[in-house]
Amino acid sequence: MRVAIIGAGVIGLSTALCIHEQYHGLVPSLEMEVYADRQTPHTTSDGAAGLWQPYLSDHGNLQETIWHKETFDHLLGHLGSPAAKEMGLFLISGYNLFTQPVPDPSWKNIVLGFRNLTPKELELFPGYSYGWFNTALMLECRSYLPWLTERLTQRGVKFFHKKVESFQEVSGDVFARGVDVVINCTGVRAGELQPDPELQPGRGQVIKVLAPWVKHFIITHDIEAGIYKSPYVIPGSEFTVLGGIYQHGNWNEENNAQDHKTIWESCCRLLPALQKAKIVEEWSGLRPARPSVRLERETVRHGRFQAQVIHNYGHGGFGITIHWGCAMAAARLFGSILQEKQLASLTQPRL
Amino acid sequence: MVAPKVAVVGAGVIGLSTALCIAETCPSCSVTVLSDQFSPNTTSDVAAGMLIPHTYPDTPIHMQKQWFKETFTYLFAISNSAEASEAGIHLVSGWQVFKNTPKEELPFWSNIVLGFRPMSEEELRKFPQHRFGQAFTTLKCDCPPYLLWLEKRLEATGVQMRTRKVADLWELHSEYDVVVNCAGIGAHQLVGDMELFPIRGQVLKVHAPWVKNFIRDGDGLTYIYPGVHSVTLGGTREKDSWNLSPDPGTTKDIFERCCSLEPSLRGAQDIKVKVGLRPSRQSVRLQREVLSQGGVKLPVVHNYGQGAGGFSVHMGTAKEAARLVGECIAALQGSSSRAKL
Repeated sequence: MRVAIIGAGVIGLSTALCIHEQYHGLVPSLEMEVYADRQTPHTTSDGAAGLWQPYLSDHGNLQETIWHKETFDHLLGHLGSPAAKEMGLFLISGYNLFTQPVPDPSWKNIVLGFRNLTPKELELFPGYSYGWFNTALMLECRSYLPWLTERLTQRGVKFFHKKVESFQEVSGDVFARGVDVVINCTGVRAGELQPDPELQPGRGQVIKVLAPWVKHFIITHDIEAGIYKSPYVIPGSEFTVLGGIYQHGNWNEENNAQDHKTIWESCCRLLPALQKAKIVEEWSGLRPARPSVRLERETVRHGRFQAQVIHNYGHGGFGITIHWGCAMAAARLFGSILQEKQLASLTQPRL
Repeated sequence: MVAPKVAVVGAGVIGLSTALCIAETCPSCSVTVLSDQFSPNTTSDVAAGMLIPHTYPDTPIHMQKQWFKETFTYLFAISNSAEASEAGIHLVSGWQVFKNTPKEELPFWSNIVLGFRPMSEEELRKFPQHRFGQAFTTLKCDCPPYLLWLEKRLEATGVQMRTRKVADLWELHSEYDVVVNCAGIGAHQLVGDMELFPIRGQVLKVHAPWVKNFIRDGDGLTYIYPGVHSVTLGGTREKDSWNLSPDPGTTKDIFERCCSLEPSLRGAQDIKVKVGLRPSRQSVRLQREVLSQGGVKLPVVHNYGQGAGGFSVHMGTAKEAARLVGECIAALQGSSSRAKL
């Protein structure tokens, strides 16, 4: 059985690992390949700060909340293991700030120690009158993606640094050897493989600074403006990420001077000590935004041949937050494909 | 007295903050800090500088609470300003965990730190050997940055700093009008205070920048305090030990204890070992005294013995010491004007 994963961001690599871990024992002939034109540290995932935090509301999409929780619990379980440092995984506490009271988020019982901010804490953040404190996780993809790549390589998964132009190409190229399943983890560019008007880039820009005295994440919210359009400060293991840009429909991956100004001024207003921080890097990326994650099977046909495609893309600004839950759901879909193939092989007349 | 001359003996956190308070409350005073050691060689430089108070058995609780509150308020304002990074002051959140539920579940300082509350079941799961815990956010003063920042502010106010080993406070009587004794553990020899004793603390300072939360065992022996550039791992509390040399067996023991609280510390790099002698006392000695020899008097203000809680109360005791210095000066001025009659 030949499986091709397209995309080597956090979604592609974790889905590959999840499927290989679960099914390699059951399918000894399992051969897995990862195709990607961008690999770490040049993927969208690499640019993200890596904070585990879903959007404020799941808009009734309980499935996504379950996947967020599965991811959090999975990562929490790895915290005490020796691999945590190599994975770029660690606990972090911090603040979510609002200018008015808001309902508690869908994830309040997933994170640790969720509570409202006290008046004294709010004194730290003039202009904000309400907020939350909780302990969550950081998963830095600059470490996590190499770690996943290492695990996959150890398992014999092959990597191909190439751009896949179509599903046919992947399954057609190697049809003689039979690519049976394609896992589509192409993120923001999934539309190039199959048009999807619901998928749009949610452009973000971040400034990475040296500010090792910052020990908390601080996410401000402007409810009217929308998610990620208000300053945020997220301390990593090496750098602190400053952000607060979300531009729907903007495909430009170049850093923008006005956005830089917006981020810098608003973050320094939020945390005056940042004025003294040294800027190390600036980066822009495209969040693969979609009204909901596309996680489903599809049979893609061309000529006599067909391949099973599992789509797993459209994770917006919460890819890291939801990745493992989605990987497991994709693995379940893979399992159902296996079952059908087994059934098919049982009912096929023997030639 | 035109410009009262005040000497502050000691350049740790107590000496420097006291000198600063005196300079601010008595602008006409000429203040000089005298010490045989300055940062990075003071006891304060070894300390993590966490604002978690130590309880002094013989100092009234309301006073300890006030000192802590004044210190917290003062540092809170700096942490929120553009100077925070230079001063090495930052907020840090974390957990104090107990193997056995403490008698006092609400310490006297619980409403001064931020967001104090008992830990949830989920949070405690991270510490399987511990049954009870408290979560809160407090401040940390990293040294040397904090001491260097105090020195810079002192210079800006015109306070002089001199390296000098003072063997006896009386030796200063001809040069200074008031002497402030902030000699810390040095007071044992300097003024012969037998009630002052060292509690030896060994710590490791390691590079582990992914550790963003503090963890402290309620027994006070094991703690993990993330600072700006390093994480302080501790520690020991060895009463009456004057040994300033790091002990390798102790280093191993501290490291193991901290790793059992935070396994990721196994990946820590660049481990440095330090030793400090906490200047411990049943109560902080914060009082006036008048030394006299042959009719000559020398007013002294003592401000030492903060032990494990120096950073936690330093501004509060500094303000009180400055107030006492003010009283000394007023008394001197009163007596000198009486002498003129």
